[in-house]
Amino acid sequence: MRIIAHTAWLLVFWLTGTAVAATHATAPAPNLSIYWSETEAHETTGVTVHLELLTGLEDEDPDALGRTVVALAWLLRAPLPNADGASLHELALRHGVQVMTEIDWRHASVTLWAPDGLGEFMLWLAAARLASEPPAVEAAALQASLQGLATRWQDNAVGPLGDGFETMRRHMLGLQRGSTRLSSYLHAERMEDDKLVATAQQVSTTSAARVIVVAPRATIKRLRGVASRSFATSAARPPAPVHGMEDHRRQKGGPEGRLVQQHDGRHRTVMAWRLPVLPDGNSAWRPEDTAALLTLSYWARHPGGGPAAELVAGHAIAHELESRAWLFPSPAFAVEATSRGSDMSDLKRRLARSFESLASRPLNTRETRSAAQLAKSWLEMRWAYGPDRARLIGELLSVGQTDSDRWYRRIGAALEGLTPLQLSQFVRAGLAPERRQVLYVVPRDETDVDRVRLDGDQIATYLRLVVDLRCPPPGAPENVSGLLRDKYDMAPRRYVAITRALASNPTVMRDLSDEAERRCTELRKLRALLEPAKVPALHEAIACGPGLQPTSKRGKRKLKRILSKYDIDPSWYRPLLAATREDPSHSAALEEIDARCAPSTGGAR
Amino acid sequence: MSQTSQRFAWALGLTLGLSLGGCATVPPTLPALPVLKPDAPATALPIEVSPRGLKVTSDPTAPGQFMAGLLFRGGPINDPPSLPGLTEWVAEAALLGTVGRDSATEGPHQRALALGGSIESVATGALVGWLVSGPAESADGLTDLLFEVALRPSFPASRTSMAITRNRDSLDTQGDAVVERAIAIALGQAVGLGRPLYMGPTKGMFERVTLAHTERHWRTIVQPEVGVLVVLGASAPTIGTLTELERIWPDAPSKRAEAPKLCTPQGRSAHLMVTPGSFGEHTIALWGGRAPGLGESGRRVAQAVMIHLDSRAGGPVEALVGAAQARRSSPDIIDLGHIEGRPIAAALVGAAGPPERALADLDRVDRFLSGIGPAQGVKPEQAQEAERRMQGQAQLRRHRPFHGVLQRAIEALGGADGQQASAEAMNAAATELFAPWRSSLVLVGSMDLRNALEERAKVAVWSEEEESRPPETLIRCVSEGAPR
Repeated sequence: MRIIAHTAWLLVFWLTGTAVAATHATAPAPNLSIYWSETEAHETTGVTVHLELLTGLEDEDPDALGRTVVALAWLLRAPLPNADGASLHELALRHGVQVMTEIDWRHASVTLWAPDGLGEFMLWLAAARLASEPPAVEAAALQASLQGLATRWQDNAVGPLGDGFETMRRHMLGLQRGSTRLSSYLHAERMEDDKLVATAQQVSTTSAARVIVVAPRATIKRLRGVASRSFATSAARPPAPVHGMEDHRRQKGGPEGRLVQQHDGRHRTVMAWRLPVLPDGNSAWRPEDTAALLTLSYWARHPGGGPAAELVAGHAIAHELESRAWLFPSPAFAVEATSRGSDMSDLKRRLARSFESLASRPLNTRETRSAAQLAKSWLEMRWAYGPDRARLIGELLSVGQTDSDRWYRRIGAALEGLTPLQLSQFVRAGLAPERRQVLYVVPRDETDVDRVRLDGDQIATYLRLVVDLRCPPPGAPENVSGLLRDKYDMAPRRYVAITRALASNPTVMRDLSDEAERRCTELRKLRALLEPAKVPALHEAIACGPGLQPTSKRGKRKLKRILSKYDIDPSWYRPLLAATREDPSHSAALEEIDARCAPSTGGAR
Repeated sequence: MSQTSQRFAWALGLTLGLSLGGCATVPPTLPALPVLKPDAPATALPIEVSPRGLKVTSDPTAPGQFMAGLLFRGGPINDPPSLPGLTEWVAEAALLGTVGRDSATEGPHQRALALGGSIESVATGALVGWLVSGPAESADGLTDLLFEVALRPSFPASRTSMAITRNRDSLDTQGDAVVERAIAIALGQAVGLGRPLYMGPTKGMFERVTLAHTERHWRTIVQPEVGVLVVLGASAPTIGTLTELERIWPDAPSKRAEAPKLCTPQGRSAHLMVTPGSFGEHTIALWGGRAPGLGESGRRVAQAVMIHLDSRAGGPVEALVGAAQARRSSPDIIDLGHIEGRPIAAALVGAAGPPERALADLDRVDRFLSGIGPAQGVKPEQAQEAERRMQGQAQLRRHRPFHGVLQRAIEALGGADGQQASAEAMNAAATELFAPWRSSLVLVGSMDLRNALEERAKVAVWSEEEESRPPETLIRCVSEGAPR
């Protein structure tokens, strides 16, 4: 069921501008704030108490690898004062409190969620956890905690950094920048007992902390009085850090990578774009940018969205699509497609085009409104659900945005007003080929030739390539690797693998050769008929003018004049167009004309 | 200034001075753990019945976005034996297109997106159907879509065929087939089927299923008297609208498939699924037994037993096998569907790791579980705790996105089982649930493990191939209702 995957998605975001003073915060102890957020009162709402220890994956320098997961283990299983040695996890679960955990780039957290009557109890748990001089923790307790987390980040892992998205993100941030969830866990798990206890001790006393409570108004009123007493014993901690958005570091290595995984037969393509911090080139990140990113992300993963309609339901070259949006510390957007076969070049090309083409062929107004409405609807759902709202508020506080209600309203308004132009401008600024990175996740023991899937699409692509090599258009790249890269987005190694795979079937190879020869003859005729350089002008005149099948008399007359000017028969128009589209020096011009003068627009092609 | 005022000001100044200087501050201590207040149970939503017999329940004030579910009783036990997972597949296939609309441009997903929402298929074991979610202003459109998908799917040939191929390939590459088959063997034995009972679609099913199978099974599932419409965040459709929405309700197939015959194993059985090579160093051990179905008498108490035995920190199962194994070794009830209105379920416990370790852990848990009832292992305070937790969990599930719809559907369809979970009732339930004479052990690994299993019971050897024939039944199995 896809629902679970949806609810697990957590957005990180950034808004610039002056932060409004916190109107819903209390500070019962030095450098410890409790943030109160009122929800709609409903008998099922419950109370959420979210406790954050502000040390995250980004803080894990080479001397502190594994620290975030140790922090989480400490939060869960270290004994609480006045509790007969019981831990927060034990007490909470024993009394029916739901416990959720999270670690990410900025923090480790425990979210407690229970019916209204347990509000005081959960506040007490949080206060006891943050109390000064907590009882000493034993290595066995921390190890039990780590064991409980054992498979948490290993599901769907493609390597020691976690799943495809985490692996990609880690690569984009550069190897010197922190850990992933899984790598942090693996480091923590391998710590000697002494080091484990020392790390827990250090992280528990020196990390900043904050508490966020989400509950109906009447419950908050009741709990505020309790909080000041309960948290009075909290340990002195450093103030909570505030992070900012920064541009991506210089990319190391090539734009494409390949990862071999051990226990999974799936072929996956993870594609990510490094988004600019200044999306419109002038101003800093705005609510409109967050709205565009959210819209793009929800549209990308929706089974009725353009990419899924084309790649999953249409061409059936992918099993499923997933997406992620990150804003901190550097903004990025990523999609993962599970390939149906072992050949991922076609999938990669189409996947890239699904998003990048939105710059020149934007979604129409109706599609944009639907996608933005979808994003808004999900945001509303998350806002209504206490644990998700608490995590979201924590993210906002980490970036200095203390008025979460205002943020929510502004993003809602930005989603409400998002236009196709804004979305396409956002795509143009960020989702460009030069900002793209690709990670192929492939099963173990697969040779280059194994990865070639000789289906119709693959053979058709190879045939086009053979034609280009036999009868290149004027101005075509002179060397083969240039042609492969520029026109087919294909590495020479892959070309060799396809050639070998085809060579093992002489009949197909012979048929290919014959067909290539026939097409070359055809091409030569077409080029003699009209110079390729003149085809864009012809196309513009027709596409932006009467069209190829005008219905009015005036249109018909106009078409006749155009055809007579170029001295061609109407039946040659489409073959000429198709041949010129194969020529990289003119194909961009034709695409631009299509975008400008096509009868309809839309993302799904 | 009067003398009284002067004295007051002086006293105030002294107090403030001492406080700021720290002299008057009593070192703070953590208050004692607060007394837990019982929570008022959430009120059940009113249930209405549509002209065709569909139950309808709604909560217009539920916070968050609009959500609705059209759900029917059905699960793995309702799959034809040769087509495991067909029930789940039907729900997915219905999303490929609807009658009178172009599936390429007006598919249910595309229409949901056009309304700013989503539509998903759901198969929980006890329920099967569809959920829609989206903005409240699209509630009418999304509800129309929900009924259209449920009552008028077109199962477009080319798209259905593509989806079948896609799903089959996907199962092939995920590599979970061995674990899924082991669980299926344990569940099948637990209810005395004598064959594996798969929880979801298998590769073999996708190789055999046809449009005719899909369409026929859809008619079997989608019947108003076993269905419920749950609406959250908007009002339920009026009777007039409902009449319009359900005007074309498909007839059930005239010839119903024969209901599977369940029986109760009389004695422990042991099963070895041989997996040459791949599971030499890592094995999976499973324990399966029958459990009361959803809404059946005794289910609530059985659920309380499971809550008492969950994998929590400091819980009894974690104390036995450690935190990592506890996630697998805490027993769980798995709903399997309904036979002629009667809900069917099984309890499952597992362990994984090197063969000796996995089997030793499972033995330990098995001894502990079967000893709970006879030793009156559940104490009154533990029963109270389990009861409170169960109520709290149900309340929270009602608020959790999507889970809320499922919870309300279960409440509407599940029937009343108001028995409180007392210690006495829980111990009796544990005796029944974990009785050794009705349990099955399943082990995955090489033939070398046969000796280890034979110490426990006579061993039936299974192939890992889905298409292979089940071994001959070795254990006496008494049909339900017959004397033991």
